[in-house]
Amino acid sequence: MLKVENISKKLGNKMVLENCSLNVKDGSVVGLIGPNGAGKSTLLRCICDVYQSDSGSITFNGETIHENEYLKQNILYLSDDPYYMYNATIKEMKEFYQIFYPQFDEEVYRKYLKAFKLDENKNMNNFSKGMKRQSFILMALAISPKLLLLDESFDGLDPMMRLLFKRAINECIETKEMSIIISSHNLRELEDICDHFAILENAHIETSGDIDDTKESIHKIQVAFKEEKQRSDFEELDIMHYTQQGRIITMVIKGDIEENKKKLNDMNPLIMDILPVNLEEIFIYEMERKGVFTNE
Amino acid sequence: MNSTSTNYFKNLLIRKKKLLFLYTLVLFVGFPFVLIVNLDRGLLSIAEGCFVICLGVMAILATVLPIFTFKFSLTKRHVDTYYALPINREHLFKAHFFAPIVGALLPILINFAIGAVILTFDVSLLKIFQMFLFLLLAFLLFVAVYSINTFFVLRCNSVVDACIITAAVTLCCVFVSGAIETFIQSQIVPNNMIQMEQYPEIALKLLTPMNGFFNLGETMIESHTTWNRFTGFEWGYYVYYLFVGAMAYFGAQKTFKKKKGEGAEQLSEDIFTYPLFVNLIMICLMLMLNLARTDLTGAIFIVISLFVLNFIGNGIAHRSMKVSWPMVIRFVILITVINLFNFASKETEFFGINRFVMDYREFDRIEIRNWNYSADPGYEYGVSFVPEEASENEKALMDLVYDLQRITSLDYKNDEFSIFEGDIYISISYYKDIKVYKTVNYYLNEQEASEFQNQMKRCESFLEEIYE
Repeated sequence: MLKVENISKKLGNKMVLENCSLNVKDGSVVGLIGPNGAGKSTLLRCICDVYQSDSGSITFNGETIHENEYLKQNILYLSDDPYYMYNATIKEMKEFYQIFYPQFDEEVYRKYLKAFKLDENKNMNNFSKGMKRQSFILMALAISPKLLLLDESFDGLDPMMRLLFKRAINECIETKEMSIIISSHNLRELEDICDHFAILENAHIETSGDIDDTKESIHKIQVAFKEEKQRSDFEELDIMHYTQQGRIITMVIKGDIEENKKKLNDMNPLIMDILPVNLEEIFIYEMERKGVFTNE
Repeated sequence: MNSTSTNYFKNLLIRKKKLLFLYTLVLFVGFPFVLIVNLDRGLLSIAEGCFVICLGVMAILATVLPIFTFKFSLTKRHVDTYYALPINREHLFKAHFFAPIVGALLPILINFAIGAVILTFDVSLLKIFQMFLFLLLAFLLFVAVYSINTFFVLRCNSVVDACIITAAVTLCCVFVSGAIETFIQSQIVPNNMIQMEQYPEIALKLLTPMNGFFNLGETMIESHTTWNRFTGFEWGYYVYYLFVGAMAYFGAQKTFKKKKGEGAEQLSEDIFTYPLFVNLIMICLMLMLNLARTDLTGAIFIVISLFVLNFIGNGIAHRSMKVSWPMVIRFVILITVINLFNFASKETEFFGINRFVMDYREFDRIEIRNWNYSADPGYEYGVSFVPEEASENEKALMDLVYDLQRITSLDYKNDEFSIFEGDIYISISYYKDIKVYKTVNYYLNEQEASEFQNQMKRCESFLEEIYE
């Protein structure tokens, strides 16, 4: 289990992370979301020991990660633009990673090399962005670390490859209890794969939790009333987002659905529909609530 | 080192196998092959020539390799990968530090071994052994220079800065030595009484371990005919270079262990990077361009030029061409302090050094000559004596030299030191072990000369020659 406790990190004069805490259980996949410059990459770098936090602690299975060679064999970080040696082939990169990760599984490597249709003897310099990403995902799958940190690693992958990668990851989670933290801007993609999420904003982890639980506690409701209503008429509800077109009102409300439905029914609506809400919407409304932007 | 770092060390070498093979091949063509095609000629001279070229190659490699080796700690992409790897910083440093040493030196050693076999046809085994010792000394020096450059590269935050700072490390000795030389020349009375020309050379040698390679090459050629001598080899400097190299190694290791990942591709603001070299070069230039010895127009021109150079230096360091108050204040403080030092030096007659007169009693013989061929009649006076047997008049004559030096020093301080037509020339030669140790010159006006000449004439060893 990864435990990030109250870590803070200052880069130059800017406080990028402030008292951030996060727990990642074994076998869970956490989607790390936040606007640009929120500190997602910094948090991942702190976890994998590229950066050292100014305060707080980061432990994995109870041990400190910093300078812990043995423990770090179970952690792999793939940055948004991973480094590969000049003129290196996939085979050479495999040899490079095999040195540091003794658990590197040759069989898995061969399996996904074939699945991704990559040539291990070809120079990576000539690869497209997507192919480079596939190559590193291939390494990650073959290494199968206990904790995989992916920084926007989906970007540049075609839909087929994303699907393949998701399946592979699910297999790893099932067989090896791998935990994953994925930061991405593509929230729809994260939703399919993540079971937890953490929203990072303004140097803080503003919200985190189980995606399904959150979805159950956040609802998008469309209602229409005989007479025109104002937002102030719904003060009893915890509204995250409110839009109105004539008599039709769309609200995103936090809280128990039955209680909220009852409150609305008491106002005698003409119609009332419960619409599905996705991770992207949760992120947008959460950001809107924090005043990061207005979504009218 | 554990198995991971050992395997990584091997991987670093294997990764460059093509380059290493090419490098080994070039060395083979450059040494053993050259010996093979010149079997009928003097192999020793050829081997020595190759050795000197090899020293040059080592000097270049010791300078550029740290940049290539530690590039991975200077770019964000590399840092993201390397710092996250399951290898601790110390092991990562050691693997990266030692792999290029092995890669650079092992091919040289292999080719030397092949060359040594060929040399046995023409050169004694003892001489070959001596060459081998030279090679080992060169290897150690290579490691020292490589360590020093590594220390400075690791203090930087980007590859560009690493290149600039490496160039500054290599060339700063020229500035320092030049500044010391110019400063001394501008402060010292130019009559040869005080000699300080060794100090710029000492500074140069202390600041550039590269000198060790030159010295090794020179020693190699000097010792051509012997096998058991290292004629002219400066052991003191060599040991000093190794000591500095060892300190630099530990400094580099400590720097690497503490290096922050987030520093990659940021400005290099460490004290051992731009702050050190920009200020050092500015101090050198300010010492060279002494405001106290120029007129107002010249001084203004110098200050403006120095400010522009300081601005450029800071601009490169901060990647921004902006005039900031801290920069201006630093410049003003620096130029004030340096010129106050220059002024104090001038006013105190170079801190009293210019009044110094050598003790003639420490020499084997003193010879004083005074001539004026343009006088009517022309004459040449001479006094020559052994200090131990000096008469009272000869001692009194030497006492006059103290007065002459004092007057000359004062003239120099007051910018009145110049040679006028009609000045009378006096030279004093100090002998040691039959050779002239030093000859000091004075140009005297008629009154000063007359007093000195009268004292010369009183001396027992006085000789004169008159030219009609």
